[in-house]
Amino acid sequence: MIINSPVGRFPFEVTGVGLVDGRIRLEGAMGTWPTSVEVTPSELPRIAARLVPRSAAVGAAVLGSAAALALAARRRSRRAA
Amino acid sequence: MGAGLAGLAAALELAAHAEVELVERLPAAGGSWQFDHPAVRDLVGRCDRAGVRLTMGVTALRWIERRLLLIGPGTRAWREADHLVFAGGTRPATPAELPLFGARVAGVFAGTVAHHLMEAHIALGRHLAVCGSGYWADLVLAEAPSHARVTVVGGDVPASPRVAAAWPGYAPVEVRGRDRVEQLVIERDGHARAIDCDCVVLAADQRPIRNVDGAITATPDVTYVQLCADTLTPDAVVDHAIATVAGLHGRNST
Amino acid sequence: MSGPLGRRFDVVVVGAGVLGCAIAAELAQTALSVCVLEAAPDVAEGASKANAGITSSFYAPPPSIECELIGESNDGWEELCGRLNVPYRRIGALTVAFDDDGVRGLDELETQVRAAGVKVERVTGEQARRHEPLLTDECIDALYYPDEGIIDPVRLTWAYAELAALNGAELRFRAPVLDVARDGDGRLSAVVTPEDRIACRYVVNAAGIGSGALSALAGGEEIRMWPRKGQYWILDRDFGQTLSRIVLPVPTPTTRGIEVAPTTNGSVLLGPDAEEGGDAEDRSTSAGNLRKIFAETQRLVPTVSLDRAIKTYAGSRPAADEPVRLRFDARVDNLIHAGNRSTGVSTSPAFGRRVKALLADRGENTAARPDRVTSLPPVPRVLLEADPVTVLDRRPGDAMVVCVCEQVTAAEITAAVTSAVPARSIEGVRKRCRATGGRCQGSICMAGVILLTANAHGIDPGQVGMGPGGGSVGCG
Ligand SMILES: Cc1cc2nc3c(=O)[nH]c(=O)nc-3n(C[C@H](O)[C@H](O)[C@H](O)COP(=O)(O)OP(=O)(O)OC[C@H]3O[C@@H](n4cnc5c(N)ncnc54)[C@H](O)[C@@H]3O)c2cc1C
Repeated sequence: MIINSPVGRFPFEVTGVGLVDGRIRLEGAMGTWPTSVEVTPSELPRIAARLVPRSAAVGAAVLGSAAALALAARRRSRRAA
Repeated sequence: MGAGLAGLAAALELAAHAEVELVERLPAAGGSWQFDHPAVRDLVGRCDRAGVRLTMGVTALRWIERRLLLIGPGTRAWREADHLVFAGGTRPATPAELPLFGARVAGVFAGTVAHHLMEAHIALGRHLAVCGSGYWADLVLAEAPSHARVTVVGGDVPASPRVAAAWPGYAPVEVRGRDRVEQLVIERDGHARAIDCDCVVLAADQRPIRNVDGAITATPDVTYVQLCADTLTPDAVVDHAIATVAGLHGRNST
Repeated sequence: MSGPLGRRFDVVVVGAGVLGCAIAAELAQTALSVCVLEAAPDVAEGASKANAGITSSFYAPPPSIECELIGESNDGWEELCGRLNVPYRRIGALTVAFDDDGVRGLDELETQVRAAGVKVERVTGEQARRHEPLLTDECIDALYYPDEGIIDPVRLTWAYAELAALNGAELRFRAPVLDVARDGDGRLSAVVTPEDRIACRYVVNAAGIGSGALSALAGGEEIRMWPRKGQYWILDRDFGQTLSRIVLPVPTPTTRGIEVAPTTNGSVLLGPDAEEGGDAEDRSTSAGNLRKIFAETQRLVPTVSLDRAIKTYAGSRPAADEPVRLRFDARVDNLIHAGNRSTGVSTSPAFGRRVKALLADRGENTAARPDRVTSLPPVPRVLLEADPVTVLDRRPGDAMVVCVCEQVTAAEITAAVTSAVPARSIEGVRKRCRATGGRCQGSICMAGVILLTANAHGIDPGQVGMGPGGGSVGCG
């Protein structure tokens, strides 16, 4: 899995999936950082409708990781590589 | 410090002669080249095999008396070391560095920031003035929405259909506006002109990022590996890194 | 007067600069109900943001109200700043002379300072250079003030506002007072903002440069006000670490002069100059003024270098014929003027207490409420900790650095955007915790700061405020 956030693109390795308080919770690591993603059933239609979250705010909610957002990774485009 | 291509190449080069730890702020190696670039993957694997200790997702903050302060989720430590190799990457010049005077208003962004925001589909303006050419300018031009009018100031005129006007040889000198930027004054050989814009992107004049206290300017126990150029290839970055640290080994063992 | 009927307050404070917030913080700890109305989108958007952050031990010769207010404030900084988590250091200042004229200026100054009962030492050039090794060899004679200090003036303003809010004061932003209502005796009965009409028993005019206009609106005394603009360079902390004192030239009748001053976040200020008149809102910097400022400060400290410049900025002092006002209006019975041109930060604690005393004189109950809050919850500031490892080991969740240049953690930014008087803009975050304010000026962390701010307020990132004027990130 890859997290492609507006402030960086990182690998996300899922190590566990569970239900917590009615939310789907993906446990894993974004690179070296322990990260989890929580989704409530009511959010699923919204996610499905958009498939790729466009706005950063929605991206943030889906990511659920302030840490990921707090970091500004710089991207070098494929073209430049 | 810094696990972009430069830091990875420097770490690998030094690993044959010294105990090396590579510290990176972000949770994965690659820096601006990204974690899955083939050259990054290759170097990470080789560093690993050469015994480089990869410490990802931890920020280095201070270098005092050969101790590096590391802060991050899971790591809070002072690391002792003989030498710091600083490969912190580059960024465009700030207004003070250019220097660009005038009003302090909304709408003036570093190319790094503008790029991230545009990529997140945040509209930054209808008329963008992009200062400088090269890497950051190209990224911003690529992301600029189709309805935006783009003026390029200084640098080489990019061969992009996105550019409506270009002022090669000009430098930005003053920002004007009330709440948001309304005009950018540019100058060349003493000739000034004001261009209308609602967003200014500063993408000119690459500078080395220096953000570790004690390793800001030249110091005997710090080596900087930061190639500043408008466009870079992986090979150029790696070669520069290897050449820069080549003289280091042996120095601290004597 | 028509319009929606707002709440009723005992005291309305107009202006959320350092003075308005200091006064609100003090009054909110009593039984009085307090509302602060501010035209700008945040606290500290006027002179309180543009100053040098020096807590003076001396400014004007005695007898003067300025002298009294500084005297009432200067001993208490360590205690106050400890309670409110405001960076403060009593580092001492040197006023230096280069020639005979300067020496005569120092003679006169020394007499005044001694008359004010302020600690001061007359030192030789050699001794002065021991106090500040970076001082020029040209200095032949100097005054050393050990009790002079430096403070983060914006953080102080915010802290006062937090304290006021935690004690029940209401702070409203984008709420310019555009009109007032008066009763039959000419007393103010309400103030009017575009949104609301707020009934009140007292109005405190802490409107800075807007004080004259507000007084006119209220039918009060004529206060002639004009902006006195000042510009600055900020030099990198890397240079700041080598400077230990505030260094000033011999003052002129209107300003302390262009100085070299360390800040509490380690950087160094070069400035301010003084330019009379113009537009009060004008915060633009200009190459010409800044060139001159640099040349003058280079004479004080020859090693200053523009290679180390990270930012320039400007702002205006609220100049007036009566530079310090702290009293009831002569015409309007329930209007209090609280204004200070040049030492508002240094005198803010005394302003709070004195306004409280003015109300007590009118028979108001100004006793401190037993349940009042007197301190703010501390959030460790990594930059100011000698050993962040020990501090963060106690709060491992805080160990995530967002702004590397200024060593600001996500926890500090979160505190700034979720506090009682939260930041809603990049500028607001910078003012509260320094993120984006360092040598790279947010080149790396600004996108993250925007997103954290947007998430805290549930708004789109494009709507996050950016410039001081209230413009936002997004446009079009
Ligand atoms: C260049 C410079 C250097 C300085 N250096 C120092 C120093 O080193 N030490 C020191 O102690 N002092 C210094 N000062 C002085 C100090 O900054 C001021 O004395 C102090 O900030 C004044 O505070 P204030 O709250 O009265 O004004 P301000 O901070 O200007 O606040 C007034 C507020 O009132 C608001 N307002 C105005 N009209 C209305 C209205 N009708 N309705 C609602 N709101 C309104 C404004 O928007 C503003 O936010 C300096 C000042 C400058 C400019």
